[in-house]
Amino acid sequence: MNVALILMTAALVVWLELPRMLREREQRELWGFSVLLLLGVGISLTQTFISDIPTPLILVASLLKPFSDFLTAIGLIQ
Amino acid sequence: MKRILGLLLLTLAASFLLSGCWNRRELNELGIAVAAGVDKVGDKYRLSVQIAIPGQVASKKVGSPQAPATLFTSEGDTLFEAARRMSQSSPRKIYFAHLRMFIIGESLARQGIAEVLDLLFRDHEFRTDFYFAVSKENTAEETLKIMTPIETIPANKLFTSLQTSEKIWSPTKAVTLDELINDLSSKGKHPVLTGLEIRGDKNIGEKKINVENIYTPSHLVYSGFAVFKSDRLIGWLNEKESRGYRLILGDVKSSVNHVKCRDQGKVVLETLRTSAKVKGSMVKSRPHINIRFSAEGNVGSVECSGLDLTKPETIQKLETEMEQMTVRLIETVIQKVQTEYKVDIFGFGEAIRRSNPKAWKSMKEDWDERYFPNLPVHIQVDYHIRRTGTISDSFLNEIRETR
Amino acid sequence: MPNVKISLRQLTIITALFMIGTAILIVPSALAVKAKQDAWIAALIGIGIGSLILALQLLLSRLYPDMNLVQISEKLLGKWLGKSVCFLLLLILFLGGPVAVLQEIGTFLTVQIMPETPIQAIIILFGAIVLMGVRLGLEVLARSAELLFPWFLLLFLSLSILLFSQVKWENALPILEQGPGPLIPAVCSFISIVYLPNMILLMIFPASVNRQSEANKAVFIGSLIGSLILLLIVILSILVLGPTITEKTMYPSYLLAQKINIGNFLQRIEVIMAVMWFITLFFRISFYFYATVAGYCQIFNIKNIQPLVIPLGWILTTLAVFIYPNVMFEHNWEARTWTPFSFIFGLLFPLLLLGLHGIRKIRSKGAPKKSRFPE
Repeated sequence: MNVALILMTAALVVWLELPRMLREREQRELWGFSVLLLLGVGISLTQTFISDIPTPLILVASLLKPFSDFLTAIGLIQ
Repeated sequence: MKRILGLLLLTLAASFLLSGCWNRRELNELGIAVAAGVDKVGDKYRLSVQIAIPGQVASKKVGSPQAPATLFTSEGDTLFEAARRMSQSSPRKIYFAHLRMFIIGESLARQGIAEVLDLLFRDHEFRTDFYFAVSKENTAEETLKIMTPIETIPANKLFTSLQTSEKIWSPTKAVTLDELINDLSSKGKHPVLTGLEIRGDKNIGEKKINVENIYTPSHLVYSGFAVFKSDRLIGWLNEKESRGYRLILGDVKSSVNHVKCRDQGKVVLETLRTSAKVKGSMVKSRPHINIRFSAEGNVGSVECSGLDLTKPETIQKLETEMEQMTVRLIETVIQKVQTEYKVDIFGFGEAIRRSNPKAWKSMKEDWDERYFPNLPVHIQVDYHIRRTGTISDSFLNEIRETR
Repeated sequence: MPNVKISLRQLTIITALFMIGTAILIVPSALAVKAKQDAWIAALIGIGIGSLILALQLLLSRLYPDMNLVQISEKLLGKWLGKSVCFLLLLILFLGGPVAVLQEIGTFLTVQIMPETPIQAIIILFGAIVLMGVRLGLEVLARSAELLFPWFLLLFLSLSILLFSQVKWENALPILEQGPGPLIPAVCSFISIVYLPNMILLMIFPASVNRQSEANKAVFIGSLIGSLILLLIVILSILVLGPTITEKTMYPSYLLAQKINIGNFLQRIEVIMAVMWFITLFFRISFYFYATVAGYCQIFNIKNIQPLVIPLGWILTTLAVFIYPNVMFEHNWEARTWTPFSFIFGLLFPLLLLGLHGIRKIRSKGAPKKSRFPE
């Protein structure tokens, strides 16, 4: 049910945006559009199958941890 | 073609959105809780919720058999569970956003109320505008069963009567949730709640007979303050002490007091507008409290003869008497609390904290035990009599002469 | 980039609404947790320091008046380094900015008003409006901001006036009880919530304002309006609710709206007041989102941003559902990661760019054969 809904919405988005891009021959736009849409549909589909996806923020948090620790050490943040 | 399809989709989307939301709660599906009471039975909470019956409130029928409100009770290990368990007996989901009164049974109050308050503060349905009271000697459940005249829903009676008496008669105070939590989490002030008593026979009070005659054999009366040591009730103040307490808080809008008049009668003064400034100071590394109390009043009634109100001296004399009386009122309650309860319910610690945060830091841990009981309090009262009501000299003077 | 122009007044309003954004909901408790009753002092200092930082950010746009942030960094850092640095910064900003704010509005509604409604429903509905706005373009967003700002002001002013009778001055005493120490983290969190993300405005306005010379002034006025409103809400929370309650509640300004009671008659209007937060949150998400889309289009040399709005918006909405697994994670993230990141993005990054600009200028002076940079 959810998968069908996601695919239908994706089809709707394509139907809404695609004709104009083809008409105007917007090559780069088309590439960006497809990559992002696939990514979005991908995330949505994963979400329907795996209920507990880890948030991408964990990655960011570990990336910034040294700087954050430094700021904590000099007392700028708590 | 594209337009029509777009419109079709829009209509479809709208039909999803306009059909309503998950949390819709129709009025006819809600049981509107107007008062709640909590008692401790063993180690369980006993929750009693008074629910208004809308049809009974609105109906103009005379002598309808149903009471305008009903009471559901349930027990649970925690308050929240008890509240949800109530759905086993209540036909509708109970809705707490219109709560007017929250009654705490004395036995629970003696064991601590903090756990109960967390739910009230955390849950989104409870607002912060209902009043608290402690049911004295009786359980909260019994208190909520009493039928009341005029305001047929007892919770409304309790709410309006507390609101009114706070305004025109000083020994009660309407405390809301946020004030209570502020007091509880402050180290320099302990909370105080108004007590609620059942006067008369409570067995009759539960029956409709109670409101069928002009005289109601049993009624609900606010009386005196419950003194808390952090979240536990440790004792009560009587009416006089309660008045003194309210005077220190300085939020009395109006009240009446009497002073003796020429040793044979009484003069009543109606106090309007008061203000109290509680200032803390450190003198020789000892905390001191200065209370500056000022009030304005009118002569309310004269119940003695021979008092010449036309003379300025008389007014001055009345003013000094009233000032002395007020000092006595304030002193009595401070003394009683200092010697008997040893908890700072006046916010003196807060006053010290405001004026001298550094000194407070070193004292706050044993403020109640060490500093508060022997805290010197200096009271200065300023009382001004402005007017004498609609007459000047009392006609009692003439009666005396012709007698 | 599409050739849209917005007026100076619209720019002022955009800046103000963008700054007020989520801050109006969370700033009072974020400050009171650290500075207690001195939260307003922290806000005041924050406005001072924040304005300096804003001036720094605006200096960049003065030096490169017809370029946006990505173009400036491409120019100063070199094409590929500039592109990749911007890519990374915009990615984190996207996750911590629009995605997080979109979840914030879902959390706010589920916590305070509709606890049983699935958060997905709220997020998808609100996300759809944002998508619609951004897809219609900057001009439409700016005009709707112009239309909605008076409503916001009306609600905000009525909130402040209706609460004035409940102000308790002693709640603000004693001043500086804990000394000035706790003010530092409070000021930092104020700046990081309110001022540092303003850097993203450089993605929006320099190329889209019709009178560039006055644009900086417009942004500055907007930031002052926004920060004064925030200062007022902090002061009101402290004076009406007291520091303890402000610190403990998640959304003190909602509690403030609940406190309104004029003569038992004008009361229970908090849901009307909530419209105020819908307005500011909408513009916060929209401009964040617009800036990321525009930034990515710039990085990948895409001229028309419109087709990318819906796919990226899709990612925005799906991510918003699970971006914070729980509230504790959110608090921790905001304190430990978002604040440092906003310092990198809003302070260190412009400083780096300005430094590079300075070096280039000295070099070009040393070697007069090279053509000078336009200023």
